[in-house]
Amino acid sequence: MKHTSSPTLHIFTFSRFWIWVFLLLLSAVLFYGLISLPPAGETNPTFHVASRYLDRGTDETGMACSFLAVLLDYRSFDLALLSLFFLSVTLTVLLFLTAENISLTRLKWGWVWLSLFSSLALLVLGCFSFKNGGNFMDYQFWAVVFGPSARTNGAWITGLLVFLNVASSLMWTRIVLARGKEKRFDTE
Amino acid sequence: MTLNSLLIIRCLILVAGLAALYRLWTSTHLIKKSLFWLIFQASVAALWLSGSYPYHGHWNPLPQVAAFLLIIFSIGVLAIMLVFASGVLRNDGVLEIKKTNFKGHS
Repeated sequence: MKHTSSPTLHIFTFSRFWIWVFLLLLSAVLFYGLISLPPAGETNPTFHVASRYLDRGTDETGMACSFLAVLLDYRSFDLALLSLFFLSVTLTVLLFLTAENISLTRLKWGWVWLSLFSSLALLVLGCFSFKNGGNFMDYQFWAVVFGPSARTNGAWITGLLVFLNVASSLMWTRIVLARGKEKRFDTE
Repeated sequence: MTLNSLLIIRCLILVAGLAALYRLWTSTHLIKKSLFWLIFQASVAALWLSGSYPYHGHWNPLPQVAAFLLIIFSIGVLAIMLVFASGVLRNDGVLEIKKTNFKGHS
C-alpha cells in the first residue's frame, strides 16, 4: 500500500506536536514560579539579595539610585555580555551588507566603527584592570586614576561604553536595513 | 497558594506570552514571527516587573534591571531577525518561509 502523507506534512505535524509538549512543560514551570512569588506588600525573604543591595547599595557603590547601582555596578558582568551580544549584531549586519553588496557613505560607516571601538575599549580596559587590579573593570585599578570615587566612575565608564555600543549597533542596523530597502526598490 | 488579583494578572500575562510563543513557532511570515517574539519577550519582562515590590520604602531593583536587560537583548535579537527577513525578501521576493521536505526541495 502506498504511503500517502508527504514528508512536508509529516515535519509540520511533528513540530506542532513538540511545541505543545514544550508549551505544557514551560507553562507548568512558569506557573510554579508565579505561585512561589510572595504577594504584593509583603516583606519578602525571597529577595534577600535585593535587600542587601537596598541597604548597602549607596554606601558601597556611591550611587543614590538603586536601579543604577545594580545595573552598572553589581550586575556589570551582564552589561559586558550584552555588549558582546551587540558586537555580534553589528558583525551580522556587516556580513549582510557584504553579501547584499550595499554601498554606504563614509559618514554612515562611523556607526560600525563606534560600535567596534566601544566594545573593544570595554574588553581592553576590562582585561587591563584585571591584570593590574583583581577583577574585570576592577575599582582597585581605577583608584589610580580617580582616587576614592574609583568604583562609581568605573561603573559609569562601563555603562557609557555599553550604551555607545548598543546605540551605535542599533543605528547601524537601521541604516543598513533602510539602504537595503532602497536598493531593492531601485532594482525593481 | 492564595488566589488574588495579582496572581490572576500574572497568569493572564503568562497565557499571552505562551500564545505568542506558539504563534512564533508556527507562523511562516517573518515579520509576524518578529512581532510575536517581541510580544513573548514583553510578557516575560512584565512578569519580572510584577515582582518588583516596595521593600522598606524602596522598590526592589532586581526585577527592574532584569526586565530592562531582557528588553534590550530582545531588541538586538529583533534586529538580527529583521536582517535575515530582509535577506529572504531580497532572494525570494516574499517574507514567507517556504516549507521544504527532507531533501530541501520546495
